Amino acid sequence: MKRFIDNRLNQVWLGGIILLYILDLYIITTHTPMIPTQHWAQKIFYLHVPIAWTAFLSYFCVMVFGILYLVKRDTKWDRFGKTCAELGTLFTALVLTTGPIWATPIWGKPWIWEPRLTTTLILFLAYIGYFMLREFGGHPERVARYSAILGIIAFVDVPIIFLSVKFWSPAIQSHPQVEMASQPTGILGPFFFSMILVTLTWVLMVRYRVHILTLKQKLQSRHV
Amino acid sequence: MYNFFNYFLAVVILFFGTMIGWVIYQCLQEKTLISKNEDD
Repeated sequence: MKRFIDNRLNQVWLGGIILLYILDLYIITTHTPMIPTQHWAQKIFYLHVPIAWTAFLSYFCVMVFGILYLVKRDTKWDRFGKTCAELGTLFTALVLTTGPIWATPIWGKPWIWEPRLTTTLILFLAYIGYFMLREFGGHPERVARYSAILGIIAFVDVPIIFLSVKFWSPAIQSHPQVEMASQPTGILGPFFFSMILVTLTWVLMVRYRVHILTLKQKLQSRHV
Repeated sequence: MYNFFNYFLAVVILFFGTMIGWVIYQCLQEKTLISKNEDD
């Protein structure tokens, strides 16, 4: 039984990602402009926003794999859905910690109960509920079905997060993506580079985790 | 004037620490599962 890293593609992918992260950090620290009002704190966005994007992408995939499982009833889709839910929650936890680290020097406090932050926290808590369902839901087939449904419903919060600033308090916070898009190339180029790099990292993590869940399933099926 | 470098460093350490910790955890799980599969 082969390890994940025994595959040549995975070796190249991992090695490439490590080298690109070194390059990314070098570019962020030496080749991006220093914003006068925020100094180094502004550079947190080169990681914070790609992490947030990846979390939302992950939850989108949970919804897609949930639909695929409900239609095809193949456990492969359930494994993909569970993997994406785990990674989405991990990345959302990172968003909810890196955001307050940025906010502490800039806003003067780590957290305010404004729409975007609150709806992101709700998303995180919804997926904590998802994992509780996975753990205590009972029969595996029923758990897979209910998890798929919950994953589809919970995704509704993601567009709400994007639209929350428009609907409630536009004065407090603008969409970082909009701000980034109107910036000169010195900021935009490294930002998109970070975005692609974190997304490639996420894809590799999904593949690794699915590999492990498949090993687990093979072991369980032998003991049935 | 303070330049907030510590906050940026904290985010970098948090992100890469999480990634490395996750990989280590998955490697340990994988090792256990492969050895159990081979024992069977």
